[in-house]
Amino acid sequence: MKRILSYAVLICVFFFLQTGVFSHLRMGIIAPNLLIICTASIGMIRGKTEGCLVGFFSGILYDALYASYFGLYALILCVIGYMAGYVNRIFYEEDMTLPLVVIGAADTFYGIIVYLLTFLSRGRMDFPYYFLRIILPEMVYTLILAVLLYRMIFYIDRKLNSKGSDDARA
Amino acid sequence: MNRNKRKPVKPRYLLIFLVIVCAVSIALSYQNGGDKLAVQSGITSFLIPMEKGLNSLGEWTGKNRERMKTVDELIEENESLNTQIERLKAQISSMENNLSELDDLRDLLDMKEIYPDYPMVGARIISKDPGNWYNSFIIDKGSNDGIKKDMNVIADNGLAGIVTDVSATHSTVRGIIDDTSNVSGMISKSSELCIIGGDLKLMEEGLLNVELISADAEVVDGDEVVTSYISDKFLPGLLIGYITDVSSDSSMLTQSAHLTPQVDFENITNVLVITQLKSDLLSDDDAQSAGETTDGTEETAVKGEGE
Repeated sequence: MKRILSYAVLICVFFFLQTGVFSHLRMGIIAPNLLIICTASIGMIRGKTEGCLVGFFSGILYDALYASYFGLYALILCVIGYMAGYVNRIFYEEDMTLPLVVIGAADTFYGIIVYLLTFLSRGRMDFPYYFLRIILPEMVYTLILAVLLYRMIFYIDRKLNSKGSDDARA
Repeated sequence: MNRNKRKPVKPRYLLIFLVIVCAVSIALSYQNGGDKLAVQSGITSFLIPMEKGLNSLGEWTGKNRERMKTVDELIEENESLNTQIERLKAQISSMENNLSELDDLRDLLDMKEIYPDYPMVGARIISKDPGNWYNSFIIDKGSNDGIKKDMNVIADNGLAGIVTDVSATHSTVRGIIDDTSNVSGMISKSSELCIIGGDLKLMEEGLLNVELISADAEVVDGDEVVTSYISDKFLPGLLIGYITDVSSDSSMLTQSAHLTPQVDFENITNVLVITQLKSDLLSDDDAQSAGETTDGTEETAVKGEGE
């Protein structure tokens, strides 16, 4: 129960940071993607099931406010959380490189999917431009924040584990 | 979670289940024509109050980052602004002369005012799209304040966007610089029609695309563009921006250009929503046209001369 609650709080905090604060702290026109950090981190640390669920619910929040098609971002984030769960098997606690690689890959994947679904379908063909000017800078900005935020999520997870209140995988 | 302990759900099935849920809701909202679903409005009405508070925090942090500009930069800017003030002052005085002359001439012509007085409602932007692909924002007025879908939104005396979604206490506005936005415009000097579309590629420079200007139209940098009479969503005569970089298309049948919008989308915080819908205006016109045939013919005559 405690874990569900802390996930709910975590998702809300990340969501409000994303929409309230970081949508103003843009580098040029680029804002980072905190929901990806949250989803991919949970997926890596806790496995497919929880990554999938966290991704779904944070995507739902984003969809409710901004998406033109309700469910699109939930779908993308849900799949990302699930795929990050594959890393859970080879996940090694002290290592920082792997999580960053996964988060970077997840954000790139997200960008490419959004481009394919909502831009290419409208005839915006110049993929290299969008890749270099939107997807790549977003990934870099996201990674910079991920260094901090991943540690935070990891720390929260360890706290929850040590209390041992209820561990879903036990 | 307790349920999971006894009978753990295989992640694969969970994924399939959630994907189906998403697919269904995407299909539903597609069928709804992009309108908000009931679930969606439920979630947003819960999020909006918190969003309001956090947005002011975000604005504050954004402002503080601006404050970190170096002193040199500020001095330089100050100098250039001062010279600009001088220039503008001179311009104003000459404009005032022109204006009084214009008034006189207009009285002579007995023309209606160019900008009709539309009823408006002020609104504050409480949240901007946090992603990098689109440019929409949420304002703190909704159907309770008389906002309806397709109402035009203006700021800084220029067209800012159009209302795409309305809830009870807030509504979503799509900016004209959004990649999916298309506005039917008119170059006010020559009455040439054109299409003004948002383009993510130009967003960083703060420009828009202008397309389908006919090849024989005389267009130069700085020409004013307003919303056209033929649009069925945008009210006529709203200032959109000014033309730059005119170029001839490869087909030689049309010209295209870029447009500097009147609205400064980076620092936009307050907007005005025009509560007059174009569609109502049209149906009103239809109803009145029977009684006002003389007016109608006069207008078309003037238009014909213009072209």
